Amino acid sequence: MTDNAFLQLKHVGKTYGGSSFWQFKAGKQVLSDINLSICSQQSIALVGASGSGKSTLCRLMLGLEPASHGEIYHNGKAFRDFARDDWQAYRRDVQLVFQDSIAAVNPRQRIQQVLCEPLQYLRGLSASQCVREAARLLDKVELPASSLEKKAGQLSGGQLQRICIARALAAKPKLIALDESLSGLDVLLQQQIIALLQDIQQQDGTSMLLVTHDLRLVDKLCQQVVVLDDGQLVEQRPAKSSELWSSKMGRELSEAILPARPPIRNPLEQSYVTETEECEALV
Amino acid sequence: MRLELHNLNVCTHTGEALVKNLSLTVESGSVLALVGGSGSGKSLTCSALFDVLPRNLMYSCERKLNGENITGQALRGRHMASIMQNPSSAFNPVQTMMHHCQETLSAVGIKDQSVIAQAMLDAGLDDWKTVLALYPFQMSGGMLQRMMLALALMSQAPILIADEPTTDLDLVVQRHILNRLKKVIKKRQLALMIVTHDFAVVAQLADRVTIMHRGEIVENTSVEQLFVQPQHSVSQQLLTAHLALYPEETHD
Repeated sequence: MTDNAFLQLKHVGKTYGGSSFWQFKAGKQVLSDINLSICSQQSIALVGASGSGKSTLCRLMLGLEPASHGEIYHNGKAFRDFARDDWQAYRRDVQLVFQDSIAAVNPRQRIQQVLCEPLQYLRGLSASQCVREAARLLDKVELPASSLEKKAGQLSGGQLQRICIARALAAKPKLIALDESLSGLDVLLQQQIIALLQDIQQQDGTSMLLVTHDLRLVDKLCQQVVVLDDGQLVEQRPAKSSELWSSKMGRELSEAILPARPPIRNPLEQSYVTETEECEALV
Repeated sequence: MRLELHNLNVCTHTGEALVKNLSLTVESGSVLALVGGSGSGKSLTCSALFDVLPRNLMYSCERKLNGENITGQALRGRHMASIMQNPSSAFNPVQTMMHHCQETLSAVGIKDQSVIAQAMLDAGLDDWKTVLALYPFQMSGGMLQRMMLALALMSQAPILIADEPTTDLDLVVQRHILNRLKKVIKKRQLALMIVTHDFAVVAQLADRVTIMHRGEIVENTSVEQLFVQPQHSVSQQLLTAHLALYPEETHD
Protein backbone atom coordinates (compact mmCIF):
# COMPACT_ATOMS: atom_id res chain seq x y z
CA MET A 1 0.00 0.00 0.00
CA THR A 2 2.67 2.48 1.01
CA ASP A 3 4.64 1.92 -2.16
CA ASN A 4 1.99 2.60 -4.71
CA ALA A 5 0.27 5.36 -2.72
CA PHE A 6 0.54 8.57 -4.71
CA LEU A 7 -0.13 10.59 -1.58
CA GLN A 8 -0.18 9.36 1.97
CA LEU A 9 -1.20 11.41 4.99
CA LYS A 10 -0.18 10.30 8.47
CA HIS A 11 -1.70 12.03 11.51
CA VAL A 12 -1.88 15.31 9.66
CA GLY A 13 -3.15 18.37 11.52
CA LYS A 14 -3.28 22.08 10.86
CA THR A 15 -3.45 24.93 13.34
CA TYR A 16 -3.79 28.54 12.31
CA GLY A 17 -2.52 31.37 14.49
CA GLY A 18 -1.13 30.39 17.87
CA SER A 19 1.92 31.39 19.86
CA SER A 20 4.24 33.97 18.44
CA PHE A 21 7.63 35.15 19.64
CA TRP A 22 6.01 37.60 22.04
CA GLN A 23 3.08 35.79 23.50
CA PHE A 24 1.60 32.40 24.12
CA LYS A 25 -1.78 31.93 22.51
CA ALA A 26 -3.78 28.86 21.62
CA GLY A 27 -4.21 28.62 17.86
CA LYS A 28 -7.30 27.51 16.00
CA GLN A 29 -7.11 23.87 15.13
CA VAL A 30 -8.69 23.39 11.72
CA LEU A 31 -7.66 19.80 11.06
CA SER A 32 -6.61 17.09 13.42
CA ASP A 33 -5.21 13.61 13.01
CA ILE A 34 -6.06 12.91 9.37
CA ASN A 35 -4.91 9.55 7.98
CA LEU A 36 -5.55 9.02 4.30
CA SER A 37 -3.90 7.58 1.26
CA ILE A 38 -4.58 8.14 -2.43
CA CYS A 39 -3.30 5.59 -4.94
CA SER A 40 -2.33 6.74 -8.39
CA GLN A 41 -5.21 6.80 -10.88
CA GLN A 42 -7.67 6.85 -8.01
CA SER A 43 -10.11 9.72 -7.56
CA ILE A 44 -11.27 10.82 -4.18
CA ALA A 45 -13.86 13.29 -2.94
CA LEU A 46 -13.59 15.41 0.18
CA VAL A 47 -17.03 16.34 1.44
CA GLY A 48 -18.29 18.26 4.44
CA ALA A 49 -20.32 21.31 5.41
CA SER A 50 -18.76 24.77 5.18
CA GLY A 51 -16.00 25.21 7.74
CA SER A 52 -15.26 21.51 8.08
CA GLY A 53 -11.70 21.92 6.80
CA LYS A 54 -12.02 20.36 3.37
CA SER A 55 -10.38 23.21 1.47
CA THR A 56 -7.56 23.39 4.01
CA LEU A 57 -6.89 19.67 3.64
CA CYS A 58 -6.80 20.11 -0.13
CA ARG A 59 -4.25 22.91 0.21
CA LEU A 60 -2.09 20.82 2.52
CA MET A 61 -2.13 17.91 0.11
CA LEU A 62 -1.01 20.13 -2.74
CA GLY A 63 1.85 21.50 -0.66
CA LEU A 64 0.51 25.05 -0.75
CA GLU A 65 0.75 25.20 3.01
CA PRO A 66 2.82 23.19 5.45
CA ALA A 67 1.03 20.86 7.86
CA SER A 68 1.41 21.76 11.55
CA HIS A 69 1.45 18.15 12.70
CA GLY A 70 2.09 14.81 11.08
CA GLU A 71 3.59 14.19 7.68
CA ILE A 72 2.50 13.87 4.06
CA TYR A 73 4.31 11.41 1.79
CA HIS A 74 4.41 11.54 -1.99
CA ASN A 75 5.53 8.22 -3.54
CA GLY A 76 7.02 7.33 -0.18
CA LYS A 77 9.00 10.54 0.27
CA ALA A 78 8.00 13.00 2.99
CA PHE A 79 7.23 16.61 2.08
CA ARG A 80 9.68 17.58 4.82
CA ASP A 81 12.53 15.96 2.92
CA PHE A 82 11.61 17.49 -0.42
CA ALA A 83 14.41 19.34 -2.15
CA ARG A 84 13.79 22.22 -4.53
CA ASP A 85 13.72 19.88 -7.52
CA ASP A 86 11.22 17.58 -5.79
CA TRP A 87 8.87 20.48 -5.22
CA GLN A 88 9.21 21.57 -8.80
CA ALA A 89 8.32 18.09 -10.03
CA TYR A 90 5.49 17.73 -7.52
CA ARG A 91 3.95 21.08 -8.42
CA ARG A 92 3.91 19.95 -12.04
CA ASP A 93 2.18 16.72 -11.08
CA VAL A 94 -0.63 18.33 -9.12
CA GLN A 95 -2.78 21.15 -10.44
CA LEU A 96 -5.57 23.07 -8.78
CA VAL A 97 -8.78 24.41 -10.33
CA PHE A 98 -10.46 27.04 -8.17
CA GLN A 99 -14.11 27.74 -7.52
CA ASP A 100 -14.23 31.27 -8.87
CA SER A 101 -12.96 30.99 -12.42
CA ILE A 102 -13.41 34.69 -13.09
CA ALA A 103 -11.03 35.58 -10.28
CA ALA A 104 -8.55 32.84 -11.19
CA VAL A 105 -7.64 34.20 -14.63
CA ASN A 106 -6.05 37.58 -15.33
CA PRO A 107 -8.81 39.40 -17.26
CA ARG A 108 -6.31 41.37 -19.35
CA GLN A 109 -4.40 38.36 -20.65
CA ARG A 110 -5.33 36.71 -23.88
CA ILE A 111 -6.32 33.05 -23.56
CA GLN A 112 -3.22 32.15 -25.54
CA GLN A 113 -1.00 33.73 -22.87
CA VAL A 114 -2.99 32.04 -20.10
CA LEU A 115 -2.41 28.62 -21.65
CA CYS A 116 1.14 29.16 -22.90
CA GLU A 117 2.54 30.18 -19.54
CA PRO A 118 2.39 26.71 -17.94
CA LEU A 119 3.42 25.09 -21.23
CA GLN A 120 6.51 27.22 -21.40
CA TYR A 121 7.59 27.07 -17.76
CA LEU A 122 6.40 23.65 -16.66
CA ARG A 123 6.86 21.68 -19.86
CA GLY A 124 9.65 23.75 -21.43
CA LEU A 125 8.11 23.94 -24.89
CA SER A 126 9.24 26.40 -27.55
CA ALA A 127 6.98 29.26 -28.62
CA SER A 128 5.63 27.55 -31.73
CA GLN A 129 5.09 24.27 -29.91
CA CYS A 130 3.24 26.22 -27.21
CA VAL A 131 0.77 27.67 -29.69
CA ARG A 132 0.11 24.28 -31.23
CA GLU A 133 -0.33 22.65 -27.83
CA ALA A 134 -2.60 25.48 -26.63
CA ALA A 135 -4.87 24.92 -29.62
CA ARG A 136 -4.97 21.21 -28.85
CA LEU A 137 -5.90 21.90 -25.20
CA LEU A 138 -8.68 24.25 -26.27
CA ASP A 139 -10.01 21.57 -28.54
CA LYS A 140 -9.95 19.14 -25.66
CA VAL A 141 -12.17 21.37 -23.53
CA GLU A 142 -14.45 21.91 -26.53
CA LEU A 143 -13.88 25.60 -27.07
CA PRO A 144 -13.39 27.08 -30.56
CA ALA A 145 -9.83 27.91 -31.59
CA SER A 146 -10.91 31.53 -32.07
CA SER A 147 -11.03 31.86 -28.27
CA LEU A 148 -7.22 31.89 -28.22
CA GLU A 149 -7.22 35.50 -29.36
CA LYS A 150 -9.91 36.59 -26.92
CA LYS A 151 -9.19 38.22 -23.60
CA ALA A 152 -10.22 36.38 -20.47
CA GLY A 153 -12.70 39.14 -19.61
CA GLN A 154 -14.65 38.44 -22.81
CA LEU A 155 -15.51 34.87 -21.87
CA SER A 156 -18.35 33.71 -19.65
CA GLY A 157 -17.91 31.98 -16.30
CA GLY A 158 -18.46 28.52 -17.73
CA GLN A 159 -16.04 29.08 -20.60
CA LEU A 160 -13.44 30.39 -18.17
CA GLN A 161 -13.89 27.35 -15.96
CA ARG A 162 -13.01 25.23 -18.97
CA ILE A 163 -10.00 27.46 -19.64
CA CYS A 164 -8.92 26.84 -16.04
CA ILE A 165 -9.20 23.09 -16.61
CA ALA A 166 -7.23 23.40 -19.85
CA ARG A 167 -4.58 25.37 -17.98
CA ALA A 168 -4.41 22.63 -15.35
CA LEU A 169 -4.12 19.99 -18.07
CA ALA A 170 -1.29 21.92 -19.75
CA ALA A 171 1.16 20.63 -17.15
CA LYS A 172 0.10 17.01 -17.83
CA PRO A 173 -0.67 16.51 -14.14
CA LYS A 174 -1.18 13.20 -12.40
CA LEU A 175 -3.71 14.75 -10.04
CA ILE A 176 -6.17 17.58 -10.57
CA ALA A 177 -7.69 19.13 -7.47
CA LEU A 178 -11.11 20.71 -7.97
CA ASP A 179 -11.91 23.00 -5.06
CA GLU A 180 -15.69 23.52 -5.40
CA SER A 181 -15.03 24.08 -9.10
CA LEU A 182 -18.46 22.81 -10.06
CA SER A 183 -20.65 24.64 -7.57
CA GLY A 184 -22.17 27.90 -8.74
CA LEU A 185 -22.36 26.77 -12.36
CA ASP A 186 -25.75 26.14 -13.89
CA VAL A 187 -26.82 22.53 -14.50
CA LEU A 188 -26.03 22.50 -18.21
CA LEU A 189 -22.49 23.76 -17.70
CA GLN A 190 -22.04 21.43 -14.77
CA GLN A 191 -23.03 18.49 -16.94
CA GLN A 192 -20.64 19.54 -19.72
CA ILE A 193 -17.73 19.92 -17.33
CA ILE A 194 -18.42 16.60 -15.61
CA ALA A 195 -18.43 14.89 -19.02
CA LEU A 196 -15.16 16.63 -19.88
CA LEU A 197 -13.53 15.54 -16.63
CA GLN A 198 -14.74 11.96 -17.08
CA ASP A 199 -13.10 11.93 -20.52
CA ILE A 200 -9.84 13.18 -19.08
CA GLN A 201 -9.96 10.53 -16.37
CA GLN A 202 -10.44 7.75 -18.88
CA GLN A 203 -8.02 8.95 -21.54
CA ASP A 204 -5.10 10.15 -19.43
CA GLY A 205 -5.72 8.25 -16.20
CA THR A 206 -5.57 11.50 -14.25
CA SER A 207 -6.67 11.35 -10.62
CA MET A 208 -9.13 13.87 -9.29
CA LEU A 209 -9.39 15.34 -5.84
CA LEU A 210 -12.90 16.75 -5.69
CA VAL A 211 -13.74 19.12 -2.85
CA THR A 212 -17.49 19.63 -2.59
CA HIS A 213 -20.54 19.73 -0.37
CA ASP A 214 -22.82 18.27 -3.02
CA LEU A 215 -22.97 14.49 -2.75
CA ARG A 216 -24.73 14.26 -6.12
CA LEU A 217 -21.47 15.08 -7.88
CA VAL A 218 -19.34 12.59 -5.97
CA ASP A 219 -20.07 9.29 -7.70
CA LYS A 220 -19.84 10.94 -11.11
CA LEU A 221 -16.09 11.39 -10.72
CA CYS A 222 -14.75 9.58 -7.69
CA GLN A 223 -14.35 6.07 -6.37
CA GLN A 224 -13.85 7.04 -2.74
CA VAL A 225 -15.53 9.58 -0.47
CA VAL A 226 -13.98 11.08 2.61
CA VAL A 227 -16.31 12.90 5.00
CA LEU A 228 -14.88 15.66 7.16
CA ASP A 229 -16.65 17.11 10.17
CA ASP A 230 -15.13 19.92 12.17
CA GLY A 231 -11.58 19.06 11.11
CA GLN A 232 -11.89 15.33 11.77
CA LEU A 233 -12.03 12.56 9.23
CA VAL A 234 -15.26 10.85 10.27
CA GLU A 235 -15.92 8.44 7.43
CA GLN A 236 -14.33 6.95 4.37
CA ARG A 237 -16.19 4.69 2.00
CA PRO A 238 -16.70 3.82 -1.68
CA ALA A 239 -18.63 6.49 -3.61
CA LYS A 240 -21.18 4.11 -5.10
CA SER A 241 -22.05 2.38 -1.85
CA SER A 242 -25.73 2.01 -1.09
CA GLU A 243 -25.17 1.49 2.61
CA LEU A 244 -26.31 4.04 5.13
CA TRP A 245 -23.83 6.68 6.14
CA SER A 246 -22.27 5.85 9.45
CA SER A 247 -21.28 9.38 10.41
CA LYS A 248 -23.64 12.18 11.40
CA MET A 249 -22.16 14.57 8.82
CA GLY A 250 -22.55 11.97 6.08
CA ARG A 251 -26.20 11.56 6.95
CA GLU A 252 -26.75 15.31 7.12
CA LEU A 253 -25.20 15.83 3.72
CA SER A 254 -27.18 13.03 2.11
CA GLU A 255 -30.42 14.30 3.61
CA ALA A 256 -29.67 17.82 2.43
CA ILE A 257 -29.99 16.75 -1.18
CA LEU A 258 -33.32 18.07 -2.34
CA PRO A 259 -35.67 15.60 -4.01
CA ALA A 260 -35.35 15.56 -7.80
CA ARG A 261 -39.03 16.08 -8.46
CA PRO A 262 -41.75 18.24 -6.94
CA PRO A 263 -43.68 16.66 -4.08
CA ILE A 264 -46.97 15.09 -5.05
CA ARG A 265 -49.55 17.46 -3.66
CA ASN A 266 -52.70 15.89 -2.40
CA PRO A 267 -55.45 18.33 -1.41
CA LEU A 268 -54.70 17.96 2.29
CA GLU A 269 -50.91 18.18 1.81
CA GLN A 270 -50.59 16.05 4.92
CA SER A 271 -47.86 13.66 3.97
CA TYR A 272 -45.67 16.37 2.58
CA VAL A 273 -45.81 18.65 5.59
CA THR A 274 -44.76 15.90 7.96
CA GLU A 275 -41.82 15.06 5.71
CA THR A 276 -40.62 18.66 5.82
CA GLU A 277 -40.95 18.75 9.59
CA GLU A 278 -38.91 15.60 9.84
CA CYS A 279 -36.11 16.98 7.72
CA GLU A 280 -36.01 20.14 9.71
CA ALA A 281 -35.81 18.25 12.97
CA LEU A 282 -32.79 16.40 11.61
CA VAL A 283 -31.08 19.55 10.33
CA MET B 1 -51.86 41.35 -3.89
CA ARG B 2 -50.94 40.94 -7.52
CA LEU B 3 -47.91 42.40 -9.22
CA GLU B 4 -47.66 42.39 -12.98
CA LEU B 5 -44.69 43.29 -15.13
CA HIS B 6 -45.51 43.95 -18.76
CA ASN B 7 -43.34 44.16 -21.87
CA LEU B 8 -39.96 44.55 -20.24
CA ASN B 9 -37.24 45.36 -22.77
CA VAL B 10 -33.65 45.91 -21.68
CA CYS B 11 -30.91 46.88 -24.11
CA THR B 12 -27.38 48.25 -24.03
CA HIS B 13 -26.60 51.68 -25.52
CA THR B 14 -25.28 49.90 -28.63
CA GLY B 15 -28.76 48.50 -29.17
CA GLU B 16 -28.05 44.90 -28.19
CA ALA B 17 -31.25 43.52 -26.65
CA LEU B 18 -30.66 41.70 -23.34
CA VAL B 19 -34.26 41.10 -22.31
CA LYS B 20 -37.05 41.05 -24.88
CA ASN B 21 -40.77 41.52 -24.33
CA LEU B 22 -40.90 39.88 -20.95
CA SER B 23 -44.12 39.80 -18.92
CA LEU B 24 -44.76 38.07 -15.63
CA THR B 25 -47.18 38.03 -12.74
CA VAL B 26 -46.55 37.40 -9.05
CA GLU B 27 -49.50 36.69 -6.74
CA SER B 28 -49.96 36.42 -2.98
CA GLY B 29 -49.63 32.94 -1.55
CA SER B 30 -47.87 31.55 -4.59
CA VAL B 31 -44.27 31.14 -5.66
CA LEU B 32 -43.01 31.99 -9.13
CA ALA B 33 -39.63 30.57 -10.12
CA LEU B 34 -37.65 32.37 -12.80
CA VAL B 35 -35.29 29.80 -14.27
CA GLY B 36 -32.62 29.89 -16.94
CA GLY B 37 -28.98 29.22 -17.70
CA SER B 38 -26.25 31.74 -16.89
CA GLY B 39 -26.60 34.92 -18.90
CA SER B 40 -30.27 34.43 -19.73
CA GLY B 41 -31.31 37.75 -18.17
CA LYS B 42 -32.86 36.52 -14.92
CA SER B 43 -31.11 38.96 -12.64
CA LEU B 44 -31.58 41.86 -15.06
CA THR B 45 -35.31 41.25 -14.86
CA CYS B 46 -35.18 41.50 -11.06
CA SER B 47 -33.15 44.69 -11.16
CA ALA B 48 -35.55 46.18 -13.70
CA LEU B 49 -38.50 45.32 -11.48
CA PHE B 50 -36.85 47.31 -8.66
CA ASP B 51 -35.72 50.06 -11.07
CA VAL B 52 -32.09 49.59 -10.03
CA LEU B 53 -30.50 48.62 -13.36
CA PRO B 54 -27.00 49.92 -14.08
CA ARG B 55 -27.02 53.38 -15.69
CA ASN B 56 -25.58 52.21 -19.01
CA LEU B 57 -28.58 50.00 -19.74
CA MET B 58 -31.79 51.33 -21.17
CA TYR B 59 -35.12 49.73 -20.44
CA SER B 60 -38.84 50.16 -20.76
CA CYS B 61 -41.65 48.34 -18.98
CA GLU B 62 -44.96 48.73 -17.25
CA ARG B 63 -45.51 47.68 -13.63
CA LYS B 64 -48.98 47.15 -12.23
CA LEU B 65 -49.88 46.54 -8.62
CA ASN B 66 -53.43 45.20 -8.26
CA GLY B 67 -54.18 46.55 -11.70
CA GLU B 68 -52.89 50.10 -11.14
CA ASN B 69 -49.73 51.53 -12.64
CA ILE B 70 -46.90 52.04 -10.17
CA THR B 71 -43.26 53.13 -10.43
CA GLY B 72 -40.32 51.00 -9.37
CA GLN B 73 -39.40 53.52 -6.70
CA ALA B 74 -42.84 53.34 -5.10
CA LEU B 75 -42.71 49.55 -5.11
CA ARG B 76 -39.27 49.28 -3.56
CA GLY B 77 -39.28 48.58 0.18
CA ARG B 78 -42.95 49.31 0.80
CA HIS B 79 -44.47 46.62 -1.39
CA MET B 80 -41.48 44.60 -2.44
CA ALA B 81 -38.42 43.43 -0.54
CA SER B 82 -35.41 41.56 -1.85
CA ILE B 83 -33.19 38.73 -0.65
CA MET B 84 -29.83 38.75 -2.35
CA GLN B 85 -27.43 36.06 -3.42
CA ASN B 86 -24.30 36.79 -1.46
CA PRO B 87 -25.15 37.22 2.22
CA SER B 88 -21.58 37.93 3.29
CA SER B 89 -21.25 41.07 1.18
CA ALA B 90 -24.80 42.36 1.52
CA PHE B 91 -24.38 43.67 5.08
CA ASN B 92 -22.47 46.66 6.36
CA PRO B 93 -19.47 45.12 8.16
CA VAL B 94 -19.14 47.88 10.77
CA GLN B 95 -22.76 47.89 11.94
CA THR B 96 -24.56 45.48 14.21
CA MET B 97 -27.71 43.61 13.20
CA MET B 98 -29.72 45.97 15.44
CA HIS B 99 -28.54 48.90 13.36
CA HIS B 100 -29.51 47.11 10.16
CA CYS B 101 -32.99 46.47 11.56
CA GLN B 102 -33.50 50.07 12.63
CA GLU B 103 -32.28 51.33 9.29
CA THR B 104 -34.82 49.16 7.51
CA LEU B 105 -37.64 50.18 9.83
CA SER B 106 -36.95 53.90 9.54
CA ALA B 107 -36.70 53.62 5.75
CA VAL B 108 -40.20 52.18 5.48
CA GLY B 109 -41.57 54.29 8.35
CA ILE B 110 -42.47 51.60 10.88
CA LYS B 111 -42.18 52.77 14.51
CA ASP B 112 -43.28 49.59 16.25
CA GLN B 113 -40.13 47.77 17.41
CA SER B 114 -41.96 44.51 18.11
CA VAL B 115 -41.91 43.60 14.43
CA ILE B 116 -38.17 42.93 14.77
CA ALA B 117 -38.63 40.00 17.11
CA GLN B 118 -41.54 38.62 15.14
CA ALA B 119 -39.69 38.74 11.82
CA MET B 120 -36.56 37.16 13.26
CA LEU B 121 -38.55 34.34 14.83
CA ASP B 122 -40.29 33.74 11.52
CA ALA B 123 -36.94 33.68 9.75
CA GLY B 124 -35.75 30.94 12.09
CA LEU B 125 -33.48 33.02 14.34
CA ASP B 126 -34.85 31.79 17.65
CA ASP B 127 -32.06 33.37 19.66
CA TRP B 128 -32.85 36.82 18.25
CA LYS B 129 -31.71 38.86 21.24
CA THR B 130 -28.14 37.60 20.93
CA VAL B 131 -28.11 37.88 17.16
CA LEU B 132 -29.12 41.55 17.24
CA ALA B 133 -25.89 42.43 19.00
CA LEU B 134 -23.67 40.67 16.44
CA TYR B 135 -21.65 42.13 13.58
CA PRO B 136 -21.85 40.46 10.15
CA PHE B 137 -18.36 38.94 10.43
CA GLN B 138 -19.37 37.15 13.61
CA MET B 139 -22.11 35.26 11.81
CA SER B 140 -22.08 32.33 9.40
CA GLY B 141 -23.41 32.51 5.84
CA GLY B 142 -26.58 30.64 6.76
CA MET B 143 -27.27 32.93 9.71
CA LEU B 144 -26.73 36.03 7.55
CA GLN B 145 -29.07 34.69 4.91
CA ARG B 146 -31.71 34.13 7.60
CA MET B 147 -31.10 37.67 8.85
CA MET B 148 -31.60 38.95 5.30
CA LEU B 149 -34.93 37.12 5.20
CA ALA B 150 -35.81 38.66 8.58
CA LEU B 151 -35.02 42.16 7.28
CA ALA B 152 -37.20 41.53 4.23
CA LEU B 153 -40.07 40.33 6.44
CA MET B 154 -39.63 43.24 8.83
CA SER B 155 -40.51 45.75 6.14
CA GLN B 156 -43.95 44.09 5.98
CA ALA B 157 -43.68 44.04 2.19
CA PRO B 158 -46.18 41.56 0.75
CA ILE B 159 -43.94 40.64 -2.19
CA LEU B 160 -40.49 39.07 -1.85
CA ILE B 161 -37.98 38.84 -4.66
CA ALA B 162 -35.20 36.33 -3.98
CA ASP B 163 -32.31 36.38 -6.44
CA GLU B 164 -30.45 33.06 -6.13
CA PRO B 165 -30.89 33.05 -2.32
CA THR B 166 -29.11 29.75 -1.70
CA THR B 167 -26.49 29.46 -4.45
CA ASP B 168 -23.61 30.43 -2.17
CA LEU B 169 -24.61 28.21 0.73
CA ASP B 170 -23.84 24.58 1.34
CA LEU B 171 -26.63 22.06 0.82
CA VAL B 172 -27.38 21.53 4.50
CA VAL B 173 -27.97 25.24 5.05
CA GLN B 174 -29.77 25.55 1.72
CA ARG B 175 -32.33 22.99 2.77
CA HIS B 176 -32.92 24.80 6.04
CA ILE B 177 -33.40 28.20 4.38
CA LEU B 178 -35.79 26.82 1.77
CA ASN B 179 -37.92 25.15 4.44
CA ARG B 180 -38.04 28.45 6.31
CA LEU B 181 -39.04 30.38 3.22
CA LYS B 182 -41.78 27.89 2.50
CA LYS B 183 -43.22 28.15 6.02
CA VAL B 184 -43.07 31.91 6.11
CA ILE B 185 -44.84 32.29 2.77
CA LYS B 186 -47.64 30.09 3.97
CA LYS B 187 -47.91 31.82 7.32
CA ARG B 188 -47.85 35.39 6.04
CA GLN B 189 -49.48 34.74 2.65
CA LEU B 190 -46.62 36.41 0.80
CA ALA B 191 -45.94 36.46 -2.91
CA LEU B 192 -42.47 35.19 -3.79
CA MET B 193 -40.48 35.34 -6.97
CA ILE B 194 -37.38 33.20 -6.76
CA VAL B 195 -34.59 33.37 -9.33
CA THR B 196 -32.55 30.22 -9.64
CA HIS B 197 -30.91 27.80 -12.02
CA ASP B 198 -31.32 24.84 -9.69
CA PHE B 199 -34.27 22.62 -10.59
CA ALA B 200 -34.19 20.99 -7.17
CA VAL B 201 -35.03 24.36 -5.63
CA VAL B 202 -37.80 24.82 -8.18
CA ALA B 203 -39.25 21.40 -7.38
CA GLN B 204 -39.15 22.11 -3.67
CA LEU B 205 -40.59 25.59 -3.61
CA ALA B 206 -42.31 26.82 -6.74
CA ASP B 207 -45.92 26.72 -7.90
CA ARG B 208 -45.36 28.25 -11.29
CA VAL B 209 -42.21 28.30 -13.40
CA THR B 210 -41.06 30.74 -16.06
CA ILE B 211 -38.13 29.58 -18.14
CA MET B 212 -35.91 32.16 -19.80
CA HIS B 213 -33.40 31.73 -22.57
CA ARG B 214 -31.36 34.57 -24.07
CA GLY B 215 -33.61 37.24 -22.64
CA GLU B 216 -36.88 35.72 -23.71
CA ILE B 217 -39.51 33.63 -21.99
CA VAL B 218 -39.62 30.24 -23.67
CA GLU B 219 -42.02 28.47 -21.35
CA ASN B 220 -44.48 29.37 -18.65
CA THR B 221 -46.11 26.44 -16.83
CA SER B 222 -46.91 24.88 -13.50
CA VAL B 223 -44.22 22.90 -11.70
CA GLU B 224 -45.97 19.57 -12.14
CA GLN B 225 -46.37 20.16 -15.85
CA LEU B 226 -42.72 21.13 -16.21
CA PHE B 227 -41.44 17.96 -14.60
CA VAL B 228 -43.84 15.71 -16.46
CA GLN B 229 -44.02 17.35 -19.88
CA PRO B 230 -41.55 20.13 -20.60
CA GLN B 231 -42.53 21.77 -23.89
CA HIS B 232 -39.60 23.83 -25.10
CA SER B 233 -36.22 22.29 -25.98
CA VAL B 234 -34.42 24.57 -23.50
CA SER B 235 -36.60 23.36 -20.61
CA GLN B 236 -36.08 19.77 -21.73
CA GLN B 237 -32.30 20.21 -21.75
CA LEU B 238 -32.29 21.82 -18.31
CA LEU B 239 -34.52 19.11 -16.89
CA THR B 240 -32.47 16.28 -18.37
CA ALA B 241 -29.27 17.79 -17.01
CA HIS B 242 -30.90 18.13 -13.61
CA LEU B 243 -32.23 14.57 -13.50
CA ALA B 244 -28.84 13.24 -14.62
CA LEU B 245 -27.45 14.40 -11.28
CA TYR B 246 -29.58 11.85 -9.49
CA PRO B 247 -28.99 8.10 -9.40
CA GLU B 248 -30.96 5.92 -11.82
CA GLU B 249 -33.88 5.03 -9.58
CA THR B 250 -35.29 8.56 -9.64
CA HIS B 251 -35.55 8.40 -13.42
CA ASP B 252 -38.81 7.08 -14.71
